Amino acid sequence: MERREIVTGVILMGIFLCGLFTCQALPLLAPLKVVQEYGTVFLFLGAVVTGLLLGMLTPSMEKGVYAGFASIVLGLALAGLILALPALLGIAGQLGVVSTLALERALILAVILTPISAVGVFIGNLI
Amino acid sequence: MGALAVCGIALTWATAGDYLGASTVAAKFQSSVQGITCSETNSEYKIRIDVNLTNGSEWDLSVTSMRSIVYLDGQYVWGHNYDWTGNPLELPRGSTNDIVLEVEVPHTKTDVVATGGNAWSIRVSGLLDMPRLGTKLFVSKAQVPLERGND
Repeated sequence: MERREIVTGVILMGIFLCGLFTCQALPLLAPLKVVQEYGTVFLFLGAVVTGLLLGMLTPSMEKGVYAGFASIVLGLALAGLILALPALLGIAGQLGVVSTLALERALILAVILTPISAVGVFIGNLI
Repeated sequence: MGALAVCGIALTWATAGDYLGASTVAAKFQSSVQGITCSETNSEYKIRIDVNLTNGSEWDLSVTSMRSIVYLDGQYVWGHNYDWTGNPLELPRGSTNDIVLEVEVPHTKTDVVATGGNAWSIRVSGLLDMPRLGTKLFVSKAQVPLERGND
């Protein structure tokens, strides 16, 4: 039962982080102006919240960190799928809409976000 | 968690919708090199590159700058920048624009052009200004037969 809850939590937070990763990679196309301007800040906050919630859900700090990392990886993979949609749907042309810089930034952010979510897990375990 | 996931889905849905729209617009923009002409006047060579820009999308686009690079027999000859930032080249929706980019070959390279063969290759790149996306780079490469003429 506990395992099932953790997996569900990881999936839900992965979907949440996917939205933030997508907005961060395509800031000018984000629906809200505040997300356009502070996409990276929201991503950091999202990682803390993810860690916090998963920390509350998991019995140990170690499991919480793993769950946070899994959420980040899932979010990044889903965002990658969204960014690859034009190519997958066959509508990619001569012009590249997403810069490689944005993709590299997303990958670096994913690495940075893991210890940040661990902070959230630590707080979540204390609650 | 469920509420956050719903927020994530809403964000992704809205962004991905705009992204697919922008990608469709980008896919309907085409640039191609149509031909190249080399003319000689008093031992000064001038290369004219015919470029076709097509905007088959529903958005109004504009080109802010371009750069052409000419190679002969695989060797770099010369390049030139065209900056239209102050007066961008407008490409209204569904329009086609044929432009000519001129490259004046410097004296140090006249021998290369004079003695070179006909294996010319051109690389034309530019910055396309797209609404909501900013400037995006496009690149066209072509190996085209040369028309040599004397003015």
